Amino acid sequence: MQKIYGAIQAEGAELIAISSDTQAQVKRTTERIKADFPVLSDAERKTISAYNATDAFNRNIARPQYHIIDENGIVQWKFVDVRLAGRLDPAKILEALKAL
Amino acid sequence: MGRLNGQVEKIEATQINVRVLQDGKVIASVAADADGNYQIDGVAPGTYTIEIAAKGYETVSLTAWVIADQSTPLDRVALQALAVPVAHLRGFLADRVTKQPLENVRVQLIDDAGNVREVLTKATGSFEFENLQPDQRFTLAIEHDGYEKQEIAIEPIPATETAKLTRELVPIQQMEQLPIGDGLPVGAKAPDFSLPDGDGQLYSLADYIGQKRVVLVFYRGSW
Repeated sequence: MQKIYGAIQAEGAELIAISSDTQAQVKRTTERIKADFPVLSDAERKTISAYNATDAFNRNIARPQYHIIDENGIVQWKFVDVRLAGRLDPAKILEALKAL
Repeated sequence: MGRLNGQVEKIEATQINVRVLQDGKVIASVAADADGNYQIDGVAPGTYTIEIAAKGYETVSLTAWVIADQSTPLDRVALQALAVPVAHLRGFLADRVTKQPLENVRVQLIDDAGNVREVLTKATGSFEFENLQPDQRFTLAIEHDGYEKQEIAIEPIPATETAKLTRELVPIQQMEQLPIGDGLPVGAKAPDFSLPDGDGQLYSLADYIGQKRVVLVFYRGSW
């Protein structure tokens, strides 16, 4: 994700990552991937649940997905990965940001 | 239901707006036609105030008693030009999702002293506030069933000018429930959050609203 963060910013957007990891885990992840964008801890899974992003097979974690939220706070685009342990394809985000 | 009709002396190149108010609330809004005639159908029996307004002209108020199944003719009026310079505000409201104009939306204009004027949008989605005091701040409040409430600060409008405004109202989602894990439907309002990063610094979606688009990524984490 860090690789395309610059490209996302160039489209006038910001990137935020959320998982159910604890703050300590999030800190390790942030350092490991050298993230310049906020990587946030939703250990209580309130936000994951509010976005209907709970993994149906493991309710303790989020199912990988992107939401693009416009300046008015409206979801304009969404992509959910159907593969169980899949990695999201970041190029899709850039395509969508350009298209919207 | 009854009907109201009347005539206003026409004014060259100036639209004349006719508003029907009951207990201070606008219940109908039409524009007089090219000959200055207007008609409002489907008015419940009762007493109404009819406001006849045009840019730069003194607003005339009439009282009307509407009787069921009858037409109530109103006195013919001629509007007098205002002696003092005034400003105007014209706006257009549409649905954010369908992009269609929104009719009969109640729009209120509130000045710093708390005085409220209200109008309804026409079938074209447009609304007008004529004859405002120039160089004064206002707040525009828009409330409509099924849509999110909006409040907009109106910068002072210079005398004789008409400020223009276009706004989209956001429908309140009767949330289409997607299967669990499928995220929110496109068009949904994104719920706000306040979550810490690895150093405990809190981030909220609200910090970005009105500034930037946000790509929100949910990932599985290191479980």
